[in-house]
Amino acid sequence: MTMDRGAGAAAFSGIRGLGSPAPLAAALGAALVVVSLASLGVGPSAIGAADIAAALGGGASAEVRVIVWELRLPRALLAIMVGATLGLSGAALQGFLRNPLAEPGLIGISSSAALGAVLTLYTGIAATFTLALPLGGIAGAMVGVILLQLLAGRGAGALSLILAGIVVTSMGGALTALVLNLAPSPFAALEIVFWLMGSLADRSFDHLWLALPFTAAGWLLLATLGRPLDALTLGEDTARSLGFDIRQVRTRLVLGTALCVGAATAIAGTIGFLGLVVPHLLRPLVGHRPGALLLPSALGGAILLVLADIAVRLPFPGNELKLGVLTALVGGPFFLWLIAAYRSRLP
Amino acid sequence: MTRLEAEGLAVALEGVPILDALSLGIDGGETVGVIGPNGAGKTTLLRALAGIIPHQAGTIDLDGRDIEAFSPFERARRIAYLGQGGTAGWAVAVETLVGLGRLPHLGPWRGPAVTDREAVDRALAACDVTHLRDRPIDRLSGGERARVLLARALAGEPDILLADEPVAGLDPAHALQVMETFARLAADGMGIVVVLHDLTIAARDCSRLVLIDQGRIAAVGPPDGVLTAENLRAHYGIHAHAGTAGGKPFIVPLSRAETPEGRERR
Repeated sequence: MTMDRGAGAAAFSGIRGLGSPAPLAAALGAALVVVSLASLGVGPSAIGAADIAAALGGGASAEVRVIVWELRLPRALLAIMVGATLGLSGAALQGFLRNPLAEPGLIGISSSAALGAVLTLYTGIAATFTLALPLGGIAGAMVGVILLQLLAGRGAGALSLILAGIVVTSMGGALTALVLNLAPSPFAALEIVFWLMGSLADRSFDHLWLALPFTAAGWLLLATLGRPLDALTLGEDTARSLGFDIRQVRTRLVLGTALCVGAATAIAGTIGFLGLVVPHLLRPLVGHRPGALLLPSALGGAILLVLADIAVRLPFPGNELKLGVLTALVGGPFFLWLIAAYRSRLP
Repeated sequence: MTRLEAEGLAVALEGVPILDALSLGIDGGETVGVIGPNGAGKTTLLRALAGIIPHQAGTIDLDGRDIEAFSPFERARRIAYLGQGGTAGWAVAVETLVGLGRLPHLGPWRGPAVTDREAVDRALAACDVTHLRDRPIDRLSGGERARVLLARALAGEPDILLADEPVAGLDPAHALQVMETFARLAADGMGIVVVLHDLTIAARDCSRLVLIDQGRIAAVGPPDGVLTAENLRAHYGIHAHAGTAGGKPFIVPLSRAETPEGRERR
């Protein structure tokens, strides 16, 4: 049972498992810096580490500076932002629902954000200015969260949230299918399908600045959930008896997830499995405590997505894989393995 | 001395009235057994007293102050709730789980302090589970888990403990052990409200009993005054054999009685 008390839990200040997972977070943070720097070296033009370092410091040739600053750096930063969002919201949702199978897509925000973005493609608005597509995605996420709150409003707990999430998800999916059905040409349909597969190619700092305020607000809301999620380990009644307002906790969860997942989907399309797998991987290292899982999951999600975004660029230079395709290809079997490995521990 | 007092309490769940004009006081140092047939409203009473569900009428006062005037964490520090058959969603270690009882005591930006750790140690010791502190919660027997969950409720060092069927499903030795723990806590001044189905335990280990039926108090007082043949027949619908052995009372249900006319069993 040594796995139950990894680096994180060893840092307890008073009670085992109620301290902060600082050493684990520091290790993950260091790994994130390393993989992010490595990702700056990957692309069609071969640029050496020394040139990249020089370009980051404002040196190197103008061409190298443009490639590093305008192509690769925003891409790496967006991978960090989107990956952290998926890891963090996955951990928060799993904690709230007390279910290791929950993931950010479950409550319908990804599908409504995707619908919003797809509508800008369909109507042609996306072609009029760069940020039309992500703005449409964010608008879609907002409509989705309002619908979700209206549907789940009466009950306070987990079940009504899941049911409302399924409704919003399937409505978003159905309307996206309708848009595809009505697409004016096969080319337009293909454009939509390709966007839905998820990618971080050809994104700029404009995308980052657009998404960052929403994402940061969402992260802050989710970061306040540590203690309520711990309290929920023993169910909603016990958490209430410990002084936590579960309805308010759920509102923070839904708004936080909507803000950051909505913005992430608007920028990058739908990227599956990350929010499901990352909390699973890291849970044993924090002694299975849901509150302690939030920060490591955010960092772990960022690491995995930066790695995935490196991997899509490697096999076919010039015709890279779609990020969502890769995460699904790798994530599916990996999740199967994870379930097999943990079967004895699942309730 | 602590006193928790409900006055004219009415609770409805989703529009269905469950408790009606119920008044009950609990003092520190006593173990009050809540008994009654299934669906009588025992669990609802405990959840209302713990602030888990709102009440539609009446008041709940703790030491003369309305419970709604307390902040949620302030209330949680004074009143602990041990739910029925609690299961942990995650395979946390026993010590972590028991530590959850300290959450209402932690400052907003502060982790657990030495006082919190000491309280957890005392709760683990009081429930005789110190040796299990590193064990994941999903690797415990039923008896061990029940004692760990009790330790979680005690870790907050409350003045009032509300325990819903804490001995359900336990073997006799473990049930006796839990009731002995209650007796020790009550001797130290804690007020304990415990929902029980085992009438022998209720008769033997409680200082006072409250018999609830259809959301109202049917009888209240010392065990021998509440567990009368007439009350058992009218409210439980049973004939029972009551006696004493070794100076301690016991009650054995023998047969079902006719359900009184006009009475609707929920």
